[in-house]
Amino acid sequence: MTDKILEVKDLEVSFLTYAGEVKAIRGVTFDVKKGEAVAIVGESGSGKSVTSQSIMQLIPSPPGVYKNGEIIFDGQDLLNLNNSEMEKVRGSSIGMIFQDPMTSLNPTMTVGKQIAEGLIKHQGLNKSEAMERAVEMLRLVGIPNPEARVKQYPHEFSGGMRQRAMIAIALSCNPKLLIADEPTTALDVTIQAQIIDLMKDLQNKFGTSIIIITHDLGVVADLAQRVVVMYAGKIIEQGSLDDIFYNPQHPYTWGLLRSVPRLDSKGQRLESIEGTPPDLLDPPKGCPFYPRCDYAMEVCVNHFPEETKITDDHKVHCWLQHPDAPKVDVPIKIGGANNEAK
Amino acid sequence: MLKFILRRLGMLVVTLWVIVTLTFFLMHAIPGDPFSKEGRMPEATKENLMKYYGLDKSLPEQYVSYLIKLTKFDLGPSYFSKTQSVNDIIANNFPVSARLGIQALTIAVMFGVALGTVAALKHNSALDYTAMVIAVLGVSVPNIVLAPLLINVFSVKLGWFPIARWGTFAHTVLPATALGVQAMAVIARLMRSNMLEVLGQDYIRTARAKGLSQFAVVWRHTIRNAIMPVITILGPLTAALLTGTFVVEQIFAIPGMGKYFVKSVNNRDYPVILGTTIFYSAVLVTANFLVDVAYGLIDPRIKVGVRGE
Ligand SMILES: Nc1ncnc2c1ncn2[C@@H]1O[C@H](COP(=O)(O)OP(=O)(O)OP(=O)(O)O)[C@@H](O)[C@H]1O
Ligand SMILES: [Mg+2]
Repeated sequence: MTDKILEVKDLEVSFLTYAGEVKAIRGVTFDVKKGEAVAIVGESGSGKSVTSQSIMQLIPSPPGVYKNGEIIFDGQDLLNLNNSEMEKVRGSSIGMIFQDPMTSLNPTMTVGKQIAEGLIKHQGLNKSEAMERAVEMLRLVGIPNPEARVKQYPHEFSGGMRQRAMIAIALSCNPKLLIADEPTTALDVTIQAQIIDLMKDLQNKFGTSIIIITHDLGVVADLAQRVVVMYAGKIIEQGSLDDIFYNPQHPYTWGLLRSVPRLDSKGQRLESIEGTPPDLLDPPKGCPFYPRCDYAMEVCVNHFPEETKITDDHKVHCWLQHPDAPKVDVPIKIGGANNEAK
Repeated sequence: MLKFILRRLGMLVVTLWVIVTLTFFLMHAIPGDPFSKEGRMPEATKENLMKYYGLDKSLPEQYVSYLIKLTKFDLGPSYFSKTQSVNDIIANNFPVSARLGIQALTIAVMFGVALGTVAALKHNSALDYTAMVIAVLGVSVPNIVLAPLLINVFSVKLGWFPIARWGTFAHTVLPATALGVQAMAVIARLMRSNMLEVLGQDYIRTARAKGLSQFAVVWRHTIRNAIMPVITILGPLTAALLTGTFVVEQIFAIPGMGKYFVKSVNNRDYPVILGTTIFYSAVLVTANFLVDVAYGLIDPRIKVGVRGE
């Protein structure tokens, strides 16, 4: 119980648009243990970003609404906090990094000030103390000559350095949880590896829990201990890294894994599985994946499968787990070529 | 930055010289001469006057001697106001116009920025719609219509402000408002759309993710970035407000520059036409120059552009 830093339970988030209610998150349950790195994977539009921004309550509202669920962080339900209580959590106990470092920093404020802001707000430092800490943070994230860099503006930083600066901002108040939403997608392949290495280092150093959202299974293998697979606003399978990579149970997970030839080939994006995800304005009643699933059965059309526990940690929602379901051969070489990647 | 300023100053002088030259020759292309209107003036007197003012010389000669005087900041005599030189006319009357213009600009910037900001923060609310209706009205109602309306309501009906003339601060309120409303509306609309754009930027999400309060996010991260395009148009707006005082000065019987400018064109009072035009141009070009410099100071990306050259 107490080994969990974050528990998301039955989370439902919708966007009320002119076209109707976009049911972006439809009952998401997962948790993050202290010091653990959890990867969220899934195709574009599956709700990864909405999930992570819900935790921080950064969903723009309107149109976003939290319809149901609990987000229990460090013992308190974040959804019950008022604005100023939530401000004390953001940036202080939970830090966040975003996809595009080119646009995520304010162009008219020095990098140092942008790091210092959070320290002044959360740790009550004065300006000069906060700037000193900003220099330390830049040094920590591996930016050379931080005393000079701290006074520079984002346009004087390269993309990789900006993402390092973002990490410095996110970690400045020593948060218990770091959420990184595709932190490497916008970067060059070589820089990607450096950023992931940096995150790994810092996780080891400070024991920060991490939620990493990525399309890159290489990053998942590198960083995460557990993997959550999302599809159309639902988690369809989750388990340890080994569970998902070497004993995947859901046909959608198979599809994701199959689209990457070798797990150690970093920078490989997930290729789309044939077909398109369902319309979240009117999501299917049953399993959202059935129209694209090679193993779909009649029951899949109208009934979403209950959770099946393969082990305590490895859970899947799929009718193939039902005792009456036909046994199917997993269409990818389990482990297979990937064994060497370990 | 210094190099940038020096280059801009050089451009400023060249611009002014071009304006002087164009105005000089265009003005002389208007048919008629300063003394032809007073028809019964004896031919001999007229010739004496022309000679006295150097108008008997060829145009290029006149042009050169004018330029020489100009370098000493001497704008010459007025042919009609026997007691005042052009320098005197500007010194006596421009402060009034300038005060009017600057007060109008202050009103425009303060209320425009506030209105646009509030409208954007309360996007799609009744407040937003009200603000934008005001802005559309402000842009489309010319001050020649607005000024009498203001007089009617606030002077005649409510008696809050004097009807016309110049003197106390109360005298300045209505004319400055009449003059500033259009610019205010322009600024409000620009500010609103900039705010909306900036609020949608990724770095605003970053600021919120740091746990900053709504106020800090808006004040430190949004307004500062959204106000930059407003600063860029301040140059042209100042121009519009300073030169646009003519109509308002007429309506409120304010002793500003406007009257002299209009009269001088009718009278072919060459030195006054030239002098006021040059003076106004200098004011405008300087305003634009200052805005450029201010922009360079506020937006760090511009400095690099200069350094990179
Ligand atoms: N502001 C919004 N208004 C309406 N719909 C939205 C909004 N934000 C997200 N959505 C919808 O929510 C769903 C989930 O989006 P989300 O951004 O979480 O996807 P994602 O898994 O992060 O995808 P990607 O890999 O492309 O980042 C999408 O269908 C998207 O269209
Ligand atoms: Mg996303």
